[in-house]
Amino acid sequence: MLADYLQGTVPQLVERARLLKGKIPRGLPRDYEALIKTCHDELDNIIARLRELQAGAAAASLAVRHAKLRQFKRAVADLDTVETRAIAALHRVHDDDHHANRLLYRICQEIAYPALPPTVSTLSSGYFYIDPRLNLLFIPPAEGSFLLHLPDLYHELAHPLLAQKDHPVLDRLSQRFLEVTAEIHDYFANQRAKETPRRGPQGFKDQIDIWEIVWTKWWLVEFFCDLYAVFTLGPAFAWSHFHLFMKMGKDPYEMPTPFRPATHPADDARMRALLVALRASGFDPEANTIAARWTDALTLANAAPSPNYSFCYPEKLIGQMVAKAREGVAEMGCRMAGHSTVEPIHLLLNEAWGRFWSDPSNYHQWEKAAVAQLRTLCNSDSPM
Amino acid sequence: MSEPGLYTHLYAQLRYCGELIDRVIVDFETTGGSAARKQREDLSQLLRALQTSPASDLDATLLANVLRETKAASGANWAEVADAIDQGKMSGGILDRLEELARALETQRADMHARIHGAYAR
Repeated sequence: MLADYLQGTVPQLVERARLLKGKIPRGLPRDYEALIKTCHDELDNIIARLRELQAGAAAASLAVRHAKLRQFKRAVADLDTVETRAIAALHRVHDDDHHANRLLYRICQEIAYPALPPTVSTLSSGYFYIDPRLNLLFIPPAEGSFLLHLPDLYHELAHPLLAQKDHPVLDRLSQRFLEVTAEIHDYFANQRAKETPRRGPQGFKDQIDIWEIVWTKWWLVEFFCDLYAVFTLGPAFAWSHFHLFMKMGKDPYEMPTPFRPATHPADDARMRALLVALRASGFDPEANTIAARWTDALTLANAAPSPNYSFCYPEKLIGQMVAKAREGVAEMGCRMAGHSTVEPIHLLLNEAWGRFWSDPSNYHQWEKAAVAQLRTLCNSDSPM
Repeated sequence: MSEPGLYTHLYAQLRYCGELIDRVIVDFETTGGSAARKQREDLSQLLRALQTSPASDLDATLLANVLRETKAASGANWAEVADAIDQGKMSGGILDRLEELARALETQRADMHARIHGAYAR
């Protein structure tokens, strides 16, 4: 059956991939060259894989047919991703995208970003996110007209750094990431060892297993991206986290359960890591101010940590993680934010939060002028 | 920052590992293991890391998590599987282990794809 099915469907999918190549608009600005090349490369790769699937399918063993079906599904999913993300973004290029691309390019220059800057699209349907394979970053359509969430661009920039392999510079961050992974395993192994002689409730031991999995599968990536952002931008990123929590945050002490594994670490744990990082960067006064506001925010949220919260997010592990991430970012040669950092976008995004708190009622007016200034800066050819 | 971004990050790893295993399976079954030499080396190295020190490699960490979550291929000796791949001696038992791992990865990949693209909308 599989051979007949592939016989009928593969040519159709190959045609779809070819059609998509033809849909890539011409005459786009240089900002899109990298994404256009990625689309062509991906589509060529998908076409080749699909054609390979047809070969020998009829006489294949059961194991091969199983493998071919999985390969087929992956090729279809890849085609879907290129079509609905990359080609869609290229098809709907807008002036706001150009500005966002120029802004991101400037940011990458400022922080000595060690990889190819991603292409930006303002087509996001869900806040900020990046596809590291396509190197395509999505932001909401109006985000370029405001400043307070732009620090999240720095977080997204970190994702591709952890996704690439065999890169002499990026491997330095991955190495630190793996060292923290080993520390996480050690920590939870110790917790398990402590529990075993006590013959504590099985539920708690199961919890330890869940914590270990979510830490190494989901949370560490998010923590590292947060830390990359705070080490390269400084306090503005911690404020941005505060802002997002105030607008959309749920339980700041959320704990994973077997039925709800919690893909993101608890907002409070993330803020604790950011504050440790800020202090390690010499931003002690700023960290104290943010910590005070954060305490107020937690009080307002009227939430309390569960008794196991400190076992799941231990202070020591957070401290080790921050130290390793800092080493990794510095070893990649990225510009580390500090009080002496003078690049314009760094200054503007940090100043925005200063203005927001010092004169909240007039902030909106100030921001309008600042955004116009930022657009002028990004449009200019002047060196940073 | 948002869920789709995190899913996409993990998706790329799941996809890579699944593709690697399936390439090796197809190669062994169709050419006796002569074509996909690089993939074979990569897979045996990955499985050795999985057996001895999953925290030494990002993909091995992922495989370890997938196996723990799904409880697939429990008790498998991945170093033995790696040896068999290196020696080009894939018995039925070895193939079963690899298939079980490939199935677990594919289930998670498909789930992640559905989450990235807004669930199972038709």
